[in-house]
Amino acid sequence: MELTYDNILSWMKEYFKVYSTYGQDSKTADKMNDYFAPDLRFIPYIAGIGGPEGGFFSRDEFIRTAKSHSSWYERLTPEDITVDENRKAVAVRFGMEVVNRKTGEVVVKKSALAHYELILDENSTIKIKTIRFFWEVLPSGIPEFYNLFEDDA
Amino acid sequence: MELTYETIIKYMQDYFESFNKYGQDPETIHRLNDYYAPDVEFTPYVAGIGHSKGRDEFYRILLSHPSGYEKLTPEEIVVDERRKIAVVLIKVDISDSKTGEILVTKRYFVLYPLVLDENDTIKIQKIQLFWEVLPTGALEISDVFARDHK
Repeated sequence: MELTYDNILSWMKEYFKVYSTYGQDSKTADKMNDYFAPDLRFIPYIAGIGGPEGGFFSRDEFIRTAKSHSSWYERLTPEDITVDENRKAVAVRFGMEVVNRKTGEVVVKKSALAHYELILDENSTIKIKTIRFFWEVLPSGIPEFYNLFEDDA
Repeated sequence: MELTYETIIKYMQDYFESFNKYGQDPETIHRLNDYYAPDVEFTPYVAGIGHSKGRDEFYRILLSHPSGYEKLTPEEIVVDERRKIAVVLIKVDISDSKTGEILVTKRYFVLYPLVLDENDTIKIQKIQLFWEVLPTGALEISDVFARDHK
């Protein structure tokens, strides 16, 4: 697959759908291997989840963590996709809903903006190499997902 | 001017340079009229920072913290030539205007939808701001800017 504007756009839409549907279930999360480079770097610009020095340093670490939280999952809905064909980079503003698996209730709702660097791997398939992640700062007193699911964050 | 990939990159680089030089001084802030549409909309995804509509209202926000100077350095510029949007990862240094001491350093990630005005010059139509969340207890930009409201 070539890294053209239209291919990147449709691949990113698919990525968000697959992540929300399969990416956080221990039985299906390995599907995310199709989207992440092995040396994926996830950089959260959010101190509460590691800050820019923390985050994840490989695909395995990301997937392992995503499938480890059994009491909640996040549903991501892309709202604005900015595609830079020249630099092979994408910025996506998306809605983020944290859902309590037991009750189905949406317990956190906010917006986020992330930067994705893409590459073509040895099989000419698109992979995400770097994710830089920012989220909306909610008013003080509103709990974040890691407050609500302290033992399973 | 056409809204091509190269012109957008160059325009955004000029914008940050002008912002740093002129954007927080009441004598020169109107030079930023070259960059913002008259109805520019500022949407911060940060609780406690107000939304604004219109260039003058935005300038009031920029001029509301004379004791702290905000320097923006673009680190990554993502340009969607088809949709006329730039998204920029920015290093932000907030310094004390008197001493020059840097008090806060963090990153912004900002989405800028662009338009061509009636004179065919590029203008920023919206500013959608996300910012880095610093550790609890760290000095924040709002703490520095609040010094001007005491």
